[in-house]
Amino acid sequence: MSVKKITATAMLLAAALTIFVAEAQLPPPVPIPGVKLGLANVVTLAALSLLGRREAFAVLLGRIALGSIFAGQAVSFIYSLCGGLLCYIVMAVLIGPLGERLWVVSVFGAVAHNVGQIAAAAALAHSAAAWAYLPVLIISGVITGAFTGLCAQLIAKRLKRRKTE
Amino acid sequence: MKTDIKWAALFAAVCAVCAAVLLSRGAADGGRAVIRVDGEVYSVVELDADEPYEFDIRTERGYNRLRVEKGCVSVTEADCPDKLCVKRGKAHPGDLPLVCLPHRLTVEVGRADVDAVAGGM
Repeated sequence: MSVKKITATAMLLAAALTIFVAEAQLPPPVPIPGVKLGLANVVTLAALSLLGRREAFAVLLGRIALGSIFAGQAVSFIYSLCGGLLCYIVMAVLIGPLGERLWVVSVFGAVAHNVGQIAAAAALAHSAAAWAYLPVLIISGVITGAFTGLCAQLIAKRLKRRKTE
Repeated sequence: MKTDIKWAALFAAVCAVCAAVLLSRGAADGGRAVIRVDGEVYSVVELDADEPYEFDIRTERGYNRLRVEKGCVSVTEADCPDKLCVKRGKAHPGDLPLVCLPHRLTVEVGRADVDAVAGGM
């Protein structure tokens, strides 16, 4: 990794962490556990599009680990990690064929994130009842994923243009 | 742009399927009421009765008459001073609990299986 890339990764991690901590202070938009905007994923997506898979992975892991220390509890760390990893795997695969349409990648990623969270909840509670939330979290994943994906698409487009200038 | 619309249509269809699943399940699952007096669980009632029925909760502070119907529960009579519990009307799953403060009675209404699981998410 070149110094330039390391620096860019660190900058994006700082941005992701700031957004994550700021979002954790806001009241949830709907009173359903697990539903949130996931604004920090904008940065993961931008990193995936601008820098590459390895760098995006570093941004994601760093954000989850540090974010849980600053803004979460031990339980939310496990939820975040399961959701985040599944989300990353799906997005890292789809960024190849769908790189031009970040918002589509983002929707799939957000839905995968929510599926990962439910899996973690079901495993922690030793109960399949958590899966009853699946339809709700799929709908919320599609909506929030489209929103964060469009943000990332705009950011990536502008930063790319700046890079070539 | 055309491809974007195709994707959007696909996602909208997935959402519609999920919404349909949710609606059909909401109709099937009547829910359950947890009745507490002074914070202790007094009894748990399934809201799946075909015929509505009523019963009294008597404590040293007084009585409340609870009416259980399919999918909801209400207080129809009470000897508390303010009668706020009676005026409150019917509570369905997901609503705020019925409360009779003078008698320290609360009735929480939720779905039978899922509400306890995901507290920490």
